[in-house]
Amino acid sequence: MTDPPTHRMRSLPSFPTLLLRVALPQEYRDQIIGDIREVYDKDVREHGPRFARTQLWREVLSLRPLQLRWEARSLTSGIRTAASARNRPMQSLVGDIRYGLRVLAKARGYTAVAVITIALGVGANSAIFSVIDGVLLKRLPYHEPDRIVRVWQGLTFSKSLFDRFEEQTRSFADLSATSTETFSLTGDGEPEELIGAIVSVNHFAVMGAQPALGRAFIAEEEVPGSGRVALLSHELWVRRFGSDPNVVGKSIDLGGAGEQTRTVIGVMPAHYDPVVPSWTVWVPMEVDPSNFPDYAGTARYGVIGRLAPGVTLEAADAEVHALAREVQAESSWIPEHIAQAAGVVSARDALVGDVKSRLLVLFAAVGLVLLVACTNVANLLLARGAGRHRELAVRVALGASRWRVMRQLITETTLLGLLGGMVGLIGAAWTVSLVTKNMPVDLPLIDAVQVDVRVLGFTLGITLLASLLFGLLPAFRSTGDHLGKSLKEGTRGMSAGGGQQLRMGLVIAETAFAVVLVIGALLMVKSSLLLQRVDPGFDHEQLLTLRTTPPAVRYGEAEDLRAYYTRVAEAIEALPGVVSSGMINYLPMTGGSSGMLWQLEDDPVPEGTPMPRANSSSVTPGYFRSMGIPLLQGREFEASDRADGEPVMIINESMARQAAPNGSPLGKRVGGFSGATYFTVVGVVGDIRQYQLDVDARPEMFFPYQLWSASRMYLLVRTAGPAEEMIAAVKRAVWSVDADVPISRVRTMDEVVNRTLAASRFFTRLLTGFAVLALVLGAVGLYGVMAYTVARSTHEIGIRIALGAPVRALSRAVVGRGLLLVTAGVLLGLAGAWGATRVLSSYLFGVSTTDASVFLGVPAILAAVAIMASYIPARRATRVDPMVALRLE
Amino acid sequence: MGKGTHLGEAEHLMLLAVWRLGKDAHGATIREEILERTGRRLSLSAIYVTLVRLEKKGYVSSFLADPTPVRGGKAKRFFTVKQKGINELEQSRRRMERMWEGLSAATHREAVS
Repeated sequence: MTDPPTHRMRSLPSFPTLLLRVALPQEYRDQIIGDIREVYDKDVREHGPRFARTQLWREVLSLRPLQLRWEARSLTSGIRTAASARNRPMQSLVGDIRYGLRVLAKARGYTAVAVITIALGVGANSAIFSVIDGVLLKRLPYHEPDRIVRVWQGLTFSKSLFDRFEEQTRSFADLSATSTETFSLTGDGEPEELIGAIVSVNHFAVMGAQPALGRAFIAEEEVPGSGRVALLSHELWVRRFGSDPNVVGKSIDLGGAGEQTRTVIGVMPAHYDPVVPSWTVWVPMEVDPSNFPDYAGTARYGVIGRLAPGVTLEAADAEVHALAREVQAESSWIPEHIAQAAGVVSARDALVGDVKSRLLVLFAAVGLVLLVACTNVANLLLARGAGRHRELAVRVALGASRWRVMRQLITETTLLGLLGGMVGLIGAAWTVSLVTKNMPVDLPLIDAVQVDVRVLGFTLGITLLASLLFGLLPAFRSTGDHLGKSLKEGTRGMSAGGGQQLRMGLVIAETAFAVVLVIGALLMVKSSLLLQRVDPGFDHEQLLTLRTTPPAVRYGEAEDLRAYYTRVAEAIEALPGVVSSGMINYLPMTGGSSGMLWQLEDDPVPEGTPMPRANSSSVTPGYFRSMGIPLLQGREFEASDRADGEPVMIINESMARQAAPNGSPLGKRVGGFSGATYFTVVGVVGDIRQYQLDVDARPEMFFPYQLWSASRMYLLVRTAGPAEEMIAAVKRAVWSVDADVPISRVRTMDEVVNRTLAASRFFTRLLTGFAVLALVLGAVGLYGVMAYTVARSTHEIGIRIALGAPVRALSRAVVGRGLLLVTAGVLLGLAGAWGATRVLSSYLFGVSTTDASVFLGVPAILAAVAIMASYIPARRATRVDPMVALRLE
Repeated sequence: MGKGTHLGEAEHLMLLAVWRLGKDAHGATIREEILERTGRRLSLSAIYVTLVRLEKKGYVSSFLADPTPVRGGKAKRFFTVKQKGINELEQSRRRMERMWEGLSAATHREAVS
């Protein structure tokens, strides 16, 4: 009432609101949510957001919304008299629920253990499912996304090859060429390097997506010079243009220095996921007819297609493969492994890559955790069922049918399951929001990951399934036909029940599940440790790196580029705190590389035999020194290695072994890739891991930057102190040479190396977490069974002690029994793991899927756990006072 | 809680709150009124549970107002107390007063043996 007129309502936290929406009866839903919003807003203003959130959760967890649903229903359907209601199935269900809640509330300890166990199992599943749903299941934001495919991934198409595919394939309604490019956005603010794409004008028609603002490209825009237009991603529009709705029609500068201005014609929607996730700007591909038909040197396009109606992915795959073979037969430059891989993959697989299989492994892992949890709860219920014999027997004696009693028990276990599921879901929502915000790896489509109605539905589904899984058997068991006798036989009749075998079977099963998980996790841990110990061949500490991309329009000439790089190097080396600096055009461990085929001048490769291949990069003289790569033979590059001098190169150890298997490669002349020019090898440097720590070094050649002036270079700065502290100074030094050159990818080399490990580490950590969870649950289960066994044989133990049995032998017998159960479980688990760990083979480094130390170590871990879990019950057995035990009769 | 015609305590509080608020009685204001006067922080769903029950007994009536842009466009349900509700409150009060006659916490003395 005292609100200022400009006051705006806050939106409610989405997850509790969703729960409320589900729980509240439809006829009051909107009004109550409105009221809640009003109250929430007031709470935020008066007590802060934390308090408001707590109150909101109180509202959800009080279960009042559910009560209201019940009250509202009896209002609409009229008030029934209590007597007639008793016979209605719904009413008696409510009775069962009330009774069940009362039973659960009475046995708090047991309820808490069961609820926590279920919550852990269900929560882990909900969390992983929400990721799987976002990344693998949700519809991609294209029209008929299943029809969009990547064509011949791994090959860069020339325009002419693209044309040929367009003409000679029948499987596609349309094909689009795309090429990832970097642009330099200059103008307001710091110059920025943008990753974008040159796409054929039909690109968005093929993708089946429309800009949210403005329009897509039109056919005329492929005429050279006419298409000075660009489309922006939503993210770029928000970040750089402040969500300005009038951005359409504005000029932006994508080339730097006002020389490549383009008109913005549209903005893509927020939820549009480009085929390459990093694309933020699109410009049309220009087709110059005077360049036909050859387009030499235009091999840079990736191809995306939309399948023609009725064509299956397999048919398209076969057609592309066949055409690729034809192309390869004509042009020998396509290497065999690339031709081999020709085909089509769905847009989703292209986007998601190998994340898919990792997620599925994790999903299987949490599935096992849930199984362990269910077995545990089933065990708990069996024990309780035995304890409730009398109560159930009384019910049967009073005329309840077996089905009626079973229904009551199943209602109870379902309630238990739902409680656990709810707690698990809340935990999952919390974990997911925490993890997605601090994701150490670039997971594609991560923005789509959230706990929403779909996850809620999934959780409800697995909760009910789990409830059946752990509830049905105990319910069946405890209502068996022996119930009638229980009343007569008194307490002792129960100890002979066959339930014990079942319970032992369950312990064996959960041990086996846990073993499979623990083995899988240990394999990954071992592999991670080995990977971290790999020497990359260079020193990545105190090394700063960033990329400069001089705009092509200003630095079109090789001389200008060379001059620029030289001046940057001078500016950097003049900084205090800089030990040395160097540049390279493909930074190791970031994925980029360019390969060339080579041969020796005095020993050419015979006609018809494939030439060897080596990576090639352009470096400045300070590169090897700054990276800490040792020089093994000859010399490093010098300022005197100029374009007009003798062409020289440096090769790495791996290439030296190929070029000169017995002797020194120094002085040999290598060429075959650049017309008639042959380069003299002047030095050999140590091998480094160029791709990832788990990929061996490949042959590599380096050229002086004066001979090969790359259009962008990674700067490497070795610092005297911590590399992070030099970032600002280094950027300033680079911009002191030219303030319009964008700087991007500023990182320490430590970060670069760690990034290659991040995905594997993250995966290992999750898997380990789940394995520990399974292990703990398994231990709790074993403890439960052993404790129960001891409790039930108190009488027997008492007699034995009274007759003089040694106490130690008794406790040893208890521990021995626990070990026996675990041994059986371990054996089963080892057998299962032998087959199951195979799915991990592609993630393991230096470890086989049947690594002996892991397979032998796990039984030892489990034995230790088993001894611990049975020790407490064993001690309890030895403390039995025979007098008390016998008096129990 | 009041299953018959008699008022339970929550119902009692709620009915009084609705009456006090007159034309402005909806979930959020009812909650506020009770919070201010008794210090009790009730959840909105609990308030509605009682209100729905009171409506069922014929003590209050409710109607939906048109949605307003505030509250995110959600409509408000307003409650008004009916004559029957006021009668019941009066009776309830009289019953209580009769029970209170001659009693006072200040004069109470614990029976110590």
